[in-house]
Amino acid sequence: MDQWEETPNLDQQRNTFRDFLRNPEQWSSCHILLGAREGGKAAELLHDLEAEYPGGVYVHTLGEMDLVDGIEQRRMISYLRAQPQLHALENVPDGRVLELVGGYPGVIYRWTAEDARGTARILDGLEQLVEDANEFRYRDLEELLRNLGGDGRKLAARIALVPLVEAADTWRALRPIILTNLDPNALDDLKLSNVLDKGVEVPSFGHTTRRDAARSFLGRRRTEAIRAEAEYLIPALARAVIALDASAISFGEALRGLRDTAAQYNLGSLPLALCEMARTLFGERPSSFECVIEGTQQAIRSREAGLGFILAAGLFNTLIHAKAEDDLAHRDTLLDELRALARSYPDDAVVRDWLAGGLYNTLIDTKAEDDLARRDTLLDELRALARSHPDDAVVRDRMARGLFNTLIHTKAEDDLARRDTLLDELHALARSYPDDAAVRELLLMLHNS
Amino acid sequence: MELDYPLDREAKPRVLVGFKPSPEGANDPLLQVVSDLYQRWLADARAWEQLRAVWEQQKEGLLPAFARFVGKLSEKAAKLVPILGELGGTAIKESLEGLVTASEDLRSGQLSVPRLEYSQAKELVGPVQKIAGQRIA
Repeated sequence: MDQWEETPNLDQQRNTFRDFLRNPEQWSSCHILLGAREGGKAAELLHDLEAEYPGGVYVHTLGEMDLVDGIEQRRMISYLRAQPQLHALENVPDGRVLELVGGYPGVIYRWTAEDARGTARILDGLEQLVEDANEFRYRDLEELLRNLGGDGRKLAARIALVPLVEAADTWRALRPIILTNLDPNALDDLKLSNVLDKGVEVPSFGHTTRRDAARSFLGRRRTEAIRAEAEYLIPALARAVIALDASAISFGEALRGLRDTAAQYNLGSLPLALCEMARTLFGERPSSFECVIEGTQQAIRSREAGLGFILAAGLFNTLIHAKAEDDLAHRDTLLDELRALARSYPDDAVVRDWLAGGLYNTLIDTKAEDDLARRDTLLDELRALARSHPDDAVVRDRMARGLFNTLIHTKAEDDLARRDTLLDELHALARSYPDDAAVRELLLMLHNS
Repeated sequence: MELDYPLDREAKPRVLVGFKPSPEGANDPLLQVVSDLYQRWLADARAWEQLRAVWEQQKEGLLPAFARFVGKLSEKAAKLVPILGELGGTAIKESLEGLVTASEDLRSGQLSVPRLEYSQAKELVGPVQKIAGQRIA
């Protein structure tokens, strides 16, 4: 697995590798090799794992190219002299060529890159490329990006903002959103002008250092383009998250990746909240509960269409985080926002279903919090929701579960009259919906208990 | 990664490789690696025949995740003959994704994108090692 440092949620990944390391006997003929850039959190985690599992994990630091062997030196020199782009090396002694490369493969990559063809024509240019390689600078790319205009600039900005498009599967999913409202030739033009790598089908700036350089340049010199494209991409990706299955993963991942851009460019509470909510789809906690609440309020005020799923799912997940942290004030505010969202999206069954889920979870919690009055109010709310939407099986299921749990509680509370009333209500529900297996199953569990 | 090619093509005895760069933000690199391992392994027609024979002879005794995956793949293979190449890669990927989606039901409360679990990875990689009789990296 290469570029491990670019995987989101590295802690979760580290825990997965711990599972492997705890059971080495099950993986005796299997080796896991991770490539990560030195100097970041990923490298730090790997060093920690090495200390935690001595003999199970080995960290090997990649040094310079090993050119001590004369044969290897000659092989490299011959390769460089055979490159038509590197005529400028013709009269340069071998020793000077070795000195210029300095054991760093990045120099060779830069000398032979398509976009460096012009610069590499003269020795001064080669020396400049050496300097750039060592500083991770791409002056030729910067020049190309500086001269871009119109749809080419927009597309370059979108690709820089969503580096996930470099994966073929993800590109297939995201392509319609990335190319919307752009000249259909814009992608080919970026490849032909060497802004993007023409050797691959997907849009890619090439090496990760080149991609980082492109993003950094656009962020510094084309701020408005980056801002405008982020403002377009965030709601477009959020509207594409309409379920939690394989088809939605790419949209959610891309949206999550725009979180820092939304914060850095101060794009507003809703774009930031949408990115934060996407994080919750991957089990992560949002940076702040307030951000999720403010974003939802903004969506409701501006009557944004098509965002029901991501907002409801994000609120529901954040509500669970708030409860897990025992932050009941925020939990209750988040539930209120879920209610308000359902009122704003009255025809969106998904929003309603997640509201029912939030009400049901809170009903369970109120018993543990010994707030029985609130538990009963929440059950009434579930009943009302089910009455208003008699064909919504998910709402009915949450309401039936609410009845079931309250019935169990009342039994423990020795309130037998109420227990019988709730049991009658469950029987009545089963009679009204004879095909509802979930309700029947709950009754069966009661009779068997 | 520089090691990808020599391990896959030059190592003796040959090593079965599953490799994936992690493009920034990708959610489930473990799933991607396992998917790549199967795609490389099953690109060899003999491996596909071996897998089919195991499926037909030992269907009942296979590990659950492996059995579900091979079952899904066999269904697709019946429609995609031959299974090799690009179509095979898509079938493998979709079968694995189906497996991961199925695990969603086991989660409680939180609505989150499912990932390949450690136990599933174990059940998927172990049989490859056994059937192919090769080391895995």
